[in-house]
Amino acid sequence: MKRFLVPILLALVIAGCSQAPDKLYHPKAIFKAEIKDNDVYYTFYVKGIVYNNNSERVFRDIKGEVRISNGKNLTVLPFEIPPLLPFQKYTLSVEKTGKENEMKPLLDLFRIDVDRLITGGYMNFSEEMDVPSGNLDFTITNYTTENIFDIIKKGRTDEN
Amino acid sequence: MKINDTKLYLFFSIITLVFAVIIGSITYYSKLIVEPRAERLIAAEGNVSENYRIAYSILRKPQMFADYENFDRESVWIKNVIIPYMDDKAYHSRSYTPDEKVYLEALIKRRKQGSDLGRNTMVFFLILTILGMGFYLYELKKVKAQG
Repeated sequence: MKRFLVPILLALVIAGCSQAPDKLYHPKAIFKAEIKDNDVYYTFYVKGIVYNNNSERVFRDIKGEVRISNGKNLTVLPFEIPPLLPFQKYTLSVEKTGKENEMKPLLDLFRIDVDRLITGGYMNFSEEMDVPSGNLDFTITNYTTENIFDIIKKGRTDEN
Repeated sequence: MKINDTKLYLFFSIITLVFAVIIGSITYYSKLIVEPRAERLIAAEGNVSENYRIAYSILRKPQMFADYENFDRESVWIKNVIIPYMDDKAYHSRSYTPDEKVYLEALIKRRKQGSDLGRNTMVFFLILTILGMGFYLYELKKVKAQG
């Protein structure tokens, strides 16, 4: 048991040191209604801030998903983020467009009055709404890391 | 019952001395080697970009007592403005220019504040060591007198 303990602890420390961003700060939702080809299309936007609070690690090739749910899964919005340097913030914006029947669960979740949203022109936006933390799940599924000290001293590995 | 505290004072003095030596060596390594080197690079007139890059690589790692993640006014500026800006330049292999001197000076000022705090902490532990040794010698004398 003891011989496994040190590698496990070491792995935990390394994992802790290079932990990828795991939270979407200040998530906001906006709906857009747009008339195209005599059909109404709704677009659901989620915006929020991704923050790299690691002081040394650069996160690259970040891929993940924002999952919106109300107990059951309503939609999954995949995203990719450009390299995130230490202490850097990135404003993430993901979206999904569809017709009313497809978007109804999301419209219902945010209690959007569809009739009000589509009146007054061919394109309308809802107010910006906070996304309750219980309805949003932010997950990073893939990333690579590099140490900023190596980059400052030798340049990026993908440039060499 | 007579209590013999000599061992307690002795171990206390040894521990505080070890702390003082560790903190002092880190502090004076920064004061005597790191800071002068960074200052020379910042002050150098030729090859600004390369000198600034080396200076930044030295100063990017904070001094033990002046972490950039601490919650004070200067660290917020360093953490939110200087480091993201300078890291971004390094990441995109852009040249450093004389305009960035003010950022490097802010980093070295921060490092100096950290090493000053380290020096003061070392002095504090040395005073504790001297006090501990004083009590140790007094206690030793008392124990010998009591036979």
